[in-house]
Amino acid sequence: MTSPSQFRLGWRAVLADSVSAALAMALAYLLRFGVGEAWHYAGVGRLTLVLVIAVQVVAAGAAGLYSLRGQMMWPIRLAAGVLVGMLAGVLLATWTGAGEGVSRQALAGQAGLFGLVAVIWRSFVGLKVRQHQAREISRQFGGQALVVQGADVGSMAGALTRTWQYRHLLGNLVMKDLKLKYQRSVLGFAWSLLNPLIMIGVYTVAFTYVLKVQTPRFVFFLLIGLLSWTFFAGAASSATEAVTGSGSFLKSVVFPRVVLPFATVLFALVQYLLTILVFLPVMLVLYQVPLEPRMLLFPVFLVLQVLFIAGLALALSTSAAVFRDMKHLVEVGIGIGFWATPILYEPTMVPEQFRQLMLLGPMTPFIRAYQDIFYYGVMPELAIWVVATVYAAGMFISGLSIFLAYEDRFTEFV
Amino acid sequence: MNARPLIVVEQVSKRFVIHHNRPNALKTRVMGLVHKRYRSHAEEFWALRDVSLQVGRGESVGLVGRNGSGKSTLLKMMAGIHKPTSGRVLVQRNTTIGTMIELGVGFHSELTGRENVFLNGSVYGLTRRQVERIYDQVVDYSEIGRFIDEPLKNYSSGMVMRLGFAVAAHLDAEVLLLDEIFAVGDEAFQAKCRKTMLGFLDKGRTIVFVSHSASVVEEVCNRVCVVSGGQKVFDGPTKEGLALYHDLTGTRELP
Repeated sequence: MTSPSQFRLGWRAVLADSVSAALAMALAYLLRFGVGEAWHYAGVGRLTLVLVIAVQVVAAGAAGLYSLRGQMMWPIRLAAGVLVGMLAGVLLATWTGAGEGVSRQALAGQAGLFGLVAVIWRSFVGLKVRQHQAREISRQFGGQALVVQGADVGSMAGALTRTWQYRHLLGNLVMKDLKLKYQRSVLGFAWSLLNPLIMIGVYTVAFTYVLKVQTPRFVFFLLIGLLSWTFFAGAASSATEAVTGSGSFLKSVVFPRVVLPFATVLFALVQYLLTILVFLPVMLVLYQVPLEPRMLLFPVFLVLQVLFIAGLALALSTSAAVFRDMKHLVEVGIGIGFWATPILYEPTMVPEQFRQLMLLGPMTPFIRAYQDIFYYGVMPELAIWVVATVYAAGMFISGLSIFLAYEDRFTEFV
Repeated sequence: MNARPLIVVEQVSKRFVIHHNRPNALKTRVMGLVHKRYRSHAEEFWALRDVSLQVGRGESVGLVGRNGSGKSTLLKMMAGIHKPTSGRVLVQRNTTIGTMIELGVGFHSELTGRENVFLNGSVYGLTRRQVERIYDQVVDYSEIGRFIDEPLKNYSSGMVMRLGFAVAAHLDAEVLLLDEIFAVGDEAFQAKCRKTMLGFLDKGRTIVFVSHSASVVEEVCNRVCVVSGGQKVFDGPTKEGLALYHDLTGTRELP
């Protein structure tokens, strides 16, 4: 019998990583060259590309990813492997003269994607290991009438149904934060609504009269991206404290732990929706944008974005409990991410060879979809749909897996 | 002892690892390369070793022992808050367990008593409607009166505890796991708490409870487990158990 833990380590892991790297390569090439030319270029450069994949897997192996020692540290080992693999790949491409079909940009994008896919399958298999162990234990010790305390740990469906049972706790936690935020301020909730209005005024003066930005209706363009980014940044940075800041909860009551990161996401979402509620109508009237059925896509992408952010929050809250430096790394990441996302500049201002690869930024597919829907007045293109859907589904599943695999050990970490 | 136990603790051990220098912190990792002093070194601490215990329906079991003996850890393990390092905790299928390790979990001083009751109720898994159903009884029980719509920061610490206990006392659970929550309020309120506990038992509920107060244990419990140094040293009738407990703490009361 092969248990899933063996799958996570041995030759199967090498195989799964090779497939991940190849898939990432395919997607990166599609993004870089478009559907028509991607196969042509990939075919021309295939020798180098296969070599790059091999180098990446070897680098991950050298970082200790496939050895039994230190499995706790696999995210760091994976990051190290991906980084070395990427550098080696780009160097290889430069050395071969970046001949036809070998694109350094695509290789750089591929490394990030490879890391993401590798995290997704690992966290999923990791959760399966835990489920497998829990089931073994209940089979050994549990009878018909008795169940092992904590045997249901690690089940995704179980976690979500338990969250539903505790929905009032979720609601109350969000309400508490909202009440505390506005308590004793004269304007209360109105502040959330006033804020975007003030921002519209300030940005109009700053960017159209002082900086004289070329982009027409720039404030409209800017705020679509900025408000959405603020939602993401707020949720991500508060998620790092969702578990570590709830010590007394964790140590004294039994409840589905996923409620904690979900509450931080929901809190950020409510604030985002409040600002959007004021900002969108004002903008549509101010710039005389006609209402169109296309705008009904907004909730669709919002759901995808919320799924992605929730998955990220689950992963971040777990990793911050295990690895305290995460909180600071996230702050740095948010600072860098802001400039890597087309918020202050239009996507078309990016050099052509990077334009589509930049979709791989965490918030880029969603923000570009909003810009397409409201600002440019076009349908989001296929690449945006694909990346947004893959990100939302992948992040949510892997985030939930990571969280559930560590859930029952939180009391030891906080 | 009951033939069909509700909770079975089977050879449970719990190890806590105390880290000097956090092992997974970036600083420890980097500085550890430079000098031994910065490296993480762990110290093991066994809070419980090989403890077995059964709790039957309708029983009222007192867990007594000195500070740090492991009795709270044992209770938390029964609740499912801590995961055993080895051994198992088994629970009768579909049994609702109410855990009161700390009173007023989630209470916030800026919120009113009313808001806190609803928040605290949902922490125990109650829906809004369920809290509404018990709300009036909770307020009556807590003896807070008209202060219920004041922010909690205006309460005395006794009032806060009373409100927390009032919510906990109205949970409808078959098994109650209680940790040292009788140091609440004045003597009249403590008497009320004891009465509530006895009322639970009359209704056929099961109680496991950790306490240092021998008089409360004597009044409420029909069985006592003495925990010492992470091991169960006695399990049996209340009187003998308490005598042993007094020997352990060196506080045998004169008759």
